[in-house]
Amino acid sequence: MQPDLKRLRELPDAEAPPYGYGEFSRRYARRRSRQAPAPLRLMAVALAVVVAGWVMKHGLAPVMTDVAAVGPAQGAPMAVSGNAERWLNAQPRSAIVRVPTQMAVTELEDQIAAMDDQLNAMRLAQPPAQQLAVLQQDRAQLVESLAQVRYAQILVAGAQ
Amino acid sequence: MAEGLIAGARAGDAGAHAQIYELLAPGLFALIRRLVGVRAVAEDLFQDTMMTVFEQLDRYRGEAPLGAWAGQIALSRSLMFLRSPWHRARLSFGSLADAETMLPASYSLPGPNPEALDIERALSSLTPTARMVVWLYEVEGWSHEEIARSFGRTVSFSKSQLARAHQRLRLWFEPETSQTCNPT
Repeated sequence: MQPDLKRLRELPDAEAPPYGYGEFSRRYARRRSRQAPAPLRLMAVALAVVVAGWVMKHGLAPVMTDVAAVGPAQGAPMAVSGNAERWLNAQPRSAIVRVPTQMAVTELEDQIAAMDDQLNAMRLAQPPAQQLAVLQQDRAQLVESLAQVRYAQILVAGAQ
Repeated sequence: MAEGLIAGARAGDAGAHAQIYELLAPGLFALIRRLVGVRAVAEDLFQDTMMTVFEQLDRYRGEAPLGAWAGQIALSRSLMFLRSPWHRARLSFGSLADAETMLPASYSLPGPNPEALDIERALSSLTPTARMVVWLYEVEGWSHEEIARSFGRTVSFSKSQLARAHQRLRLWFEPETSQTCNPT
């Protein structure tokens, strides 16, 4: 059964804008006049590339080393991921208790789903095994992060 | 919208710009805020969108209403934002920090009502990507192929995002029947 999403179309299609035309013009003029010197712009771009690379490599998973009691941290990526996935499947479905916590879980679940999608597409293209292994390793890390967040959720729920 | 007003704006008339802003801003901000969730991000994207509207007004051919044309710019800006890992991180951390900022500060018309707020809250429980997919599919009427293309992903990405979003929304609207067990 699907939720009634027709109601989405009935949402108000207007909302008070954050500021009026005067403020918009002021911000517009400020942005246009803000011309950073070329070396600074280059440095900013380089920094952005480094940070974006870090985010892509490590994902958005919260680091929670104090709850690392989930599965062995060594061995092949798929084995680690398998242990974490078995543990996750054994847990009750996460309840929406607090939206911020739930957002971390859903964000990770989405990243894993996207990774699965990417893996499926790659398998069809029969890439070198090394490329697949890298993706599988990334996926295993995401699954482990998800297990840690869920474990923390369960600890918090138990403490309340 | 009057041709004269658009012509005036193209000629750089500040009065015409102000009138167009007043006409377009409520709809564009509502759309962007709903798509990206976090209000501070929505304000930045709204500013970008309005700037683009004025800068590209010469390209507007009048084949669709100006509001619809500007809406496509807003959608495109929001999609560009969501596709960027750096921006997604900002969105995610922002939403984690304060999920309440996702809710509208106020409506101009027809005024806040409990049902609309409930739907807004349900939408805000989705991740930015899932929210965008739901909105494009259910409201804008995009196909899975179009959504996949706009995200640079496969059709199965769009389908799985939508299916998972449905699952979450069902959990939101019918927690008692959907939730079979609770964490102990």
